[in-house]
Amino acid sequence: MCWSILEPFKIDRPMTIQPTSILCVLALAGATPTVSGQEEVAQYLRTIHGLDTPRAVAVGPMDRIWVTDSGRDRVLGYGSDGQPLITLGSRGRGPGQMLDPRGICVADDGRVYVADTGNHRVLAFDQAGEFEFAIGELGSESGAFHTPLGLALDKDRLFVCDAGNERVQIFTHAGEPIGALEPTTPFERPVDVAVDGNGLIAVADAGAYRCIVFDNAGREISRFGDAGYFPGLFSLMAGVETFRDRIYVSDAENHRVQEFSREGELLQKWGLHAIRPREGRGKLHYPAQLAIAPSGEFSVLCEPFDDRVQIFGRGEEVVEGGDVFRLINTQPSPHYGFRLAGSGHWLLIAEPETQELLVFDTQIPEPRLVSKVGGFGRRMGQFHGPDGIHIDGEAQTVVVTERAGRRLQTLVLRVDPEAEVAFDREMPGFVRMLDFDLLGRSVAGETLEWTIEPSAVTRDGDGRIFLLDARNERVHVLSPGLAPLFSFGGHGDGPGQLRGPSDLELSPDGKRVFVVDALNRRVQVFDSEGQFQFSFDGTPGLPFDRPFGIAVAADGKLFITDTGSHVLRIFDADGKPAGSVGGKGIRRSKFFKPRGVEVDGRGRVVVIDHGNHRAQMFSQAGEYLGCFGARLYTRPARLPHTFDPSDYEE
Amino acid sequence: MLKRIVVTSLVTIAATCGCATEPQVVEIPGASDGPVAATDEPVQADGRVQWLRGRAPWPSEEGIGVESNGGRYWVVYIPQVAEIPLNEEFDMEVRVFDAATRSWLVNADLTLDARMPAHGHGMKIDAAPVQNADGGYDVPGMLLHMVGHWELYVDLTEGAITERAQFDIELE
Amino acid sequence: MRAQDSSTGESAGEEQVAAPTPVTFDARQLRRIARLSPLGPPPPSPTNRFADDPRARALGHFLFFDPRLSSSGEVSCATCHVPELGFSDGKPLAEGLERGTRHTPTLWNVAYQRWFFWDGRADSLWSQALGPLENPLEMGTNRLAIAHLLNGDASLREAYEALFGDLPRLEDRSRFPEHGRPLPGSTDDPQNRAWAGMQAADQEAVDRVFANVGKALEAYERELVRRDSPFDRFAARILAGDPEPDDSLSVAAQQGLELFLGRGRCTLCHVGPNLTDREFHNTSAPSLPGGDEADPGRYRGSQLVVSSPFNAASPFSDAPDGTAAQRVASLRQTSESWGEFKTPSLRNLADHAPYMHQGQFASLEDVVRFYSTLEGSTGRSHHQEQILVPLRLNNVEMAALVAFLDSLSGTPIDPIWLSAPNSPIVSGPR
Repeated sequence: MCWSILEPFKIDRPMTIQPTSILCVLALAGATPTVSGQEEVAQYLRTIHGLDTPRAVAVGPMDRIWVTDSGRDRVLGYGSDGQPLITLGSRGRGPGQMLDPRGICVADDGRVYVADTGNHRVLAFDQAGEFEFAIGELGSESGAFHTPLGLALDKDRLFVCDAGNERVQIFTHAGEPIGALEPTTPFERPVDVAVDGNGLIAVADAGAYRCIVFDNAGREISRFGDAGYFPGLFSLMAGVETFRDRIYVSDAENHRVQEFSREGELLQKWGLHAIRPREGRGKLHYPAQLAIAPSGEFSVLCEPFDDRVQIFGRGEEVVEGGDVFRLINTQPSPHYGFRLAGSGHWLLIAEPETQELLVFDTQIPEPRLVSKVGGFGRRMGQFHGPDGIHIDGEAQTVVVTERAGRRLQTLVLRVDPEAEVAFDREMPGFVRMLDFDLLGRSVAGETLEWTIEPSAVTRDGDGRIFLLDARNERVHVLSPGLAPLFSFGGHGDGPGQLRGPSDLELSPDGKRVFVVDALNRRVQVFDSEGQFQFSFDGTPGLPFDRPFGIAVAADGKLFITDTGSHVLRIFDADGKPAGSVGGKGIRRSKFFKPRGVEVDGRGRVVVIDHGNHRAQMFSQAGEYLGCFGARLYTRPARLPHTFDPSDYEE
Repeated sequence: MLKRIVVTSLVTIAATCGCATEPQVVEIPGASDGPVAATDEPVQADGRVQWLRGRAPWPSEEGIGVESNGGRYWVVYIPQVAEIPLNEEFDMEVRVFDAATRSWLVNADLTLDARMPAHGHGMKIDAAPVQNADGGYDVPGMLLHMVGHWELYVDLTEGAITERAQFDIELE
Repeated sequence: MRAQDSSTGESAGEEQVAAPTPVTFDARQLRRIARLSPLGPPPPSPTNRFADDPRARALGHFLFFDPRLSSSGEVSCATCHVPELGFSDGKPLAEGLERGTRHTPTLWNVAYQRWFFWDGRADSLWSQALGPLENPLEMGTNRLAIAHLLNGDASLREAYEALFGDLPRLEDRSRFPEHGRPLPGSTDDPQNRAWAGMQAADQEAVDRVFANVGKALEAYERELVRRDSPFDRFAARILAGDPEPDDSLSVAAQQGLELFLGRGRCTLCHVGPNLTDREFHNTSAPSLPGGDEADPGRYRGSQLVVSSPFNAASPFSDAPDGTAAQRVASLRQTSESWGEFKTPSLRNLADHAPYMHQGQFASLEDVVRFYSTLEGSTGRSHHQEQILVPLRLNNVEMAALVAFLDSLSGTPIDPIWLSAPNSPIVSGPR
């Protein structure tokens, strides 16, 4: 196995790579002699545990490791040996406070820059850990940000991936705006940027499945990559790093890191997909950012999904793997996305890795897969980032929003009610599509600051569509014919304002709109014309930590998942707590980062237990009814008596 | 003879709030009287017209017609061959009509594609419809390269909204 | 299936089978057989107006066996496309000057193809021929050297000029260096520098000579057609409704044909009279050294053919507005085609083992066994077409399929095409 970034360990590595040597690379996360007989390079060394959704890593001077502990709104610094050293920041909006930080880089003088993503700004802390200054705020003008993500530094410039504004901005180290990178075609969603000592600037443009490379003067010199799973292709680009004229791209959904030349020639790919829950120990599971120590002695990979950071370098331990590659391909496990919708005898769940909607029939208690809709693509009938789903079980009409593609599509499930239930790929008939880029920013008489980025979606009894706009942080209401009628919400934390809203739902009579105002840690309630009514925050009892999904039962009861505290909360129609289910774990009735929730046509509460690659079903009183999903994750729930949960719990 | 042609202006629509506006009816001197429809009687309105190679029912004078999935359009496709060949290029013409008035829709933003849903793939080539002088759209070089069930999609975009009409083609 | 339905067919003391009964084909199967046979003459090649010219054919025939078309002087087209080995070479990976990355495809019935090379990066047979000539792993020469060779050899020059008109003034080495070719990715390469130093009109003239060499080679390769196999004779008789029992196809081969049309699902891709759809699919066949498939196949090939300076829409094509030109202009390029390779023809398989794009399968039995079990499959992306399923054939069924494939070998061609001619000129004195 050739982990080529560790220069001292490469032995006689040819400069021009023959195709056969690329074949050596999907190898074990440990020492393996390669096909070409080269010596091992990188080994799994250790893991940093005890984190909560670490989305970004950097290695700074003295080989210190810096991690954004995004779920706890802070930054942690460790020595190169993994010893904790310092904590920066705390939750909030004030000076030195942060919300969901997703980017980090460290200057040679020890200053730490943090992308304070939830507050749409960049923070600077000095080498002693004292807060120095903040750069920018929410906005679209130069020097402002929307969802800043990856950061990078060269000796006089700071680069910021301003994902929500589709650009990479450049600042001085003191935070003065200099300009922005100018690729030959615009970025779609830049998520990370890296600069190396020779001035090579690489940007991971996840929305376009490509890496774009610039020289020191900011001229684009190459672009490479495409959507997919094969070598040289990307599925979910999560991070980019440069080192000694090589470019490394980490790909969360392909569970690997690929190494390229500056022209985009694939040199190596590396990574073994973890199979068992929380496996780690060198195996990768949705790797996010990669950071290589300036000394080249080790590299650091964060895996926010499994709350850990893994460190690779030189060491004694050899990790065996086996031919897992076949295991993945013969029976790919479903990995459910965040959201689901259920009505009548239908249940729909998004599958992000194939960008399909899975259609389940629930006429029998165990949901049965009967179709797959969509698949990746930019034409109508295909999906680019399917996110929000709604289904009208009677009419068998479905609304799907695409967050990356910025579209909304409607389709019908064409099923003969008399026919036998069977798998049928020809079931979907797409009806209409609304393209928000074509719609523009002048919508229903207002001018929005950004194009609508559609997220969660639902419909009322008259067929009006209520759509969450993640970018403008508003709710838009459309007519059944997809004409925008009005909108409400807007960025802020006052009554009726939203920050990072994650889901919405209507009361059974359609008179109330519930919006999960996630970053404000509350649920806000509006009437059907968008007038604010009241809000609740989970108390009395446990306040919300990271609320995500909401579902409404026929009697008005509310079910809300909290990804941060791993629970399903039950509320009455006025937001008074009425119970909860869960807690962190993998047994039945336990969750790991639950996301979407729905009350299906059978009255069951179905929760996407996202971190456990499964969905669990409960009665409205909270009794466990069953689960389905990836086999290795559903087994602990199916066998409560014979299975030892201590194998899995932290 | 006068031909009334329905003209939709994309520029006009894009500049408004995105609500679909009514198509304007325009009189064009020298064309035939009244709204011109592909057929006087609709062929099938359920979107599942069967057309079997070698056993074409030819339900109308020309082509196979279907209502779009949202009911806004009537779309007809006319293969320029007696039977759709397997894995050989063929040309076809597509005509689009407003379903309510049965008037021709010209200058439409039309995308055409064909897929085999059971196999999960489309064509090997991209179809490029070109408006012809009669108001229809010529689609040269269509290629259905495998045996089985195909769905032919005609997607019509006005402003920000696209609506799909689809046909089934069974290649034996 | 009929008599051989029992899965093992083996029981102590029992006979394997009674006298095998011929297969009866129903109307639907007969329709499918009608689509596989007969194979007519090769389709025209409009992008090459010399494709059927006997003089071009004679020149191409000569050049095909001429090792001076390589930098070492030892490699000709026939080095890898060996006539006795089915115009392949019997090796998994081609070996010209160096070992290549793919198996040498056969040239039997190549004139019926739509795309050329395993990844279809050429859209005509004449433009395909240009690839190996300049590929450093194969013949390693360059277009200027080829032009000088033609110019310096009296009979080649005569043959060339009789067809294509006068060669340029190649003696002028200041305008036409000894060696040179365009190498966009390697601006410092001496051959690229020599090429870049030429005037545009001279470059175009040399490119035209180069293209014409390809066109002559195509004219020869169009002769390499074998049809009228035992299967065709069988098909003709049963399609004519001939009631006499037919022995042109063994019963095992008939059973193989039945599988081929039905449960084997072969006709999804191996369809048409040449038993190929001429398009691209990912069979997920195991790669030769093991591990991942690293060859992007059609994904890269489609990018190359669209940008090729010698494609059907180029100035060197004799039909720049024809069907082939339109096809390459509308070619869809998506990453869904990663790892897809061209469906080979199933005719005339017997003499050019091993099989598939890296020659991974030594025998037809191995190929059939792979499709039966999908063992060793490298896996495909979720985004790609989902056609393959393990067929789960038993040994008897697999043998029957192979027997059918064996029945697809056509009649031999005139042996003069199988060896070097004395002269590039049709009625040359030498």
